[in-house]
Amino acid sequence: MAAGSTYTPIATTTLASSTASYTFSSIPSTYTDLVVVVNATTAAGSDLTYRVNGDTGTNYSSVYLYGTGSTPGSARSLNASIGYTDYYGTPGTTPSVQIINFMSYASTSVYKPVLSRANRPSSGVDLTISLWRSTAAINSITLTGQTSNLLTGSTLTLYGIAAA
Amino acid sequence: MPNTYELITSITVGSGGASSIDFTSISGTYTDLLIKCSLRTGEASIYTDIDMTLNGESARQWQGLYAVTTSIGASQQTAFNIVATANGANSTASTFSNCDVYISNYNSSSGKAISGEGVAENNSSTNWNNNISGNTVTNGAAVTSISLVPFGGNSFVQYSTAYLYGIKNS
Repeated sequence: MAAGSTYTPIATTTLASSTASYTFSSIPSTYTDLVVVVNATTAAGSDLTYRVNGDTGTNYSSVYLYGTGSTPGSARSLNASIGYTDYYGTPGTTPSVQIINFMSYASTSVYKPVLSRANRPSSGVDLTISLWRSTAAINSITLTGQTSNLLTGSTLTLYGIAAA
Repeated sequence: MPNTYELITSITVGSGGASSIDFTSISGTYTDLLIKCSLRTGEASIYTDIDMTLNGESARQWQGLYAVTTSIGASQQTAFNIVATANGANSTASTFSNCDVYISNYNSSSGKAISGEGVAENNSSTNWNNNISGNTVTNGAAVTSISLVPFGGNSFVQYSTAYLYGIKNS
């Protein structure tokens, strides 16, 4: 992105206590895309998952490319009630840094693609492409440690990117 | 509207080539750093792995992992600091790689997490490189300088470029 383009912090948090999930709410529709940057740990190792607008329906699917130090592989998750941002690069006792892009989030015409990169060098590196099958504009995103809480000190930041 | 995604500096390698690309005197005013680079080396290969060094460190406190489409990545090595890729001298002429390297929380005193991805395309059905990587640096010092170095002691060739951006979360 060239200097002068917009990359605006909407909200950020550093968790003051262990928590199962964190929600970015009341997201304005004034941007083109959203980026969430996560640097998180969990006590027992856990996938980081997301839900949009509190939707608990089976409207999420995810495809993964991953590397663990042996043969790189792929996998997928269909008709799930949560979206995944990682596969092996999950937050554990060592941090996972994740960059999650929500494309065309304010559109009311298209389903929403979500692209994420997740890394935890002691476990794996992942490229995940997921989809939320809804044409509703995204106004909230909840990120959850699926099986283990996000630990104190984990950081989550939401940026908005405007194309013009 | 604030703009918190700022170009700090850019480097373009000159006609003599360069053994490294160095960003120095990086201020602590941002939250994260992002390097966008397009690289080619003189190594007699299709592609070259690119190492990163922070603060001129001599004793590496890195752990890393990567996955590539052309071979199996090295795993969980304590000195593993590959973050990007470059086209080599045996790839199609005038072809340069395209890479992003994201350094999270670079002012932290408790270690840094780094995410890299890159492609060295070659218009070939058998030789290319497409990679993703993750690294953790346990060295607690804030990052004030960054060097990109071709693996194996080769040099970057003319027109290799690297841009350093700073990103603030407020």
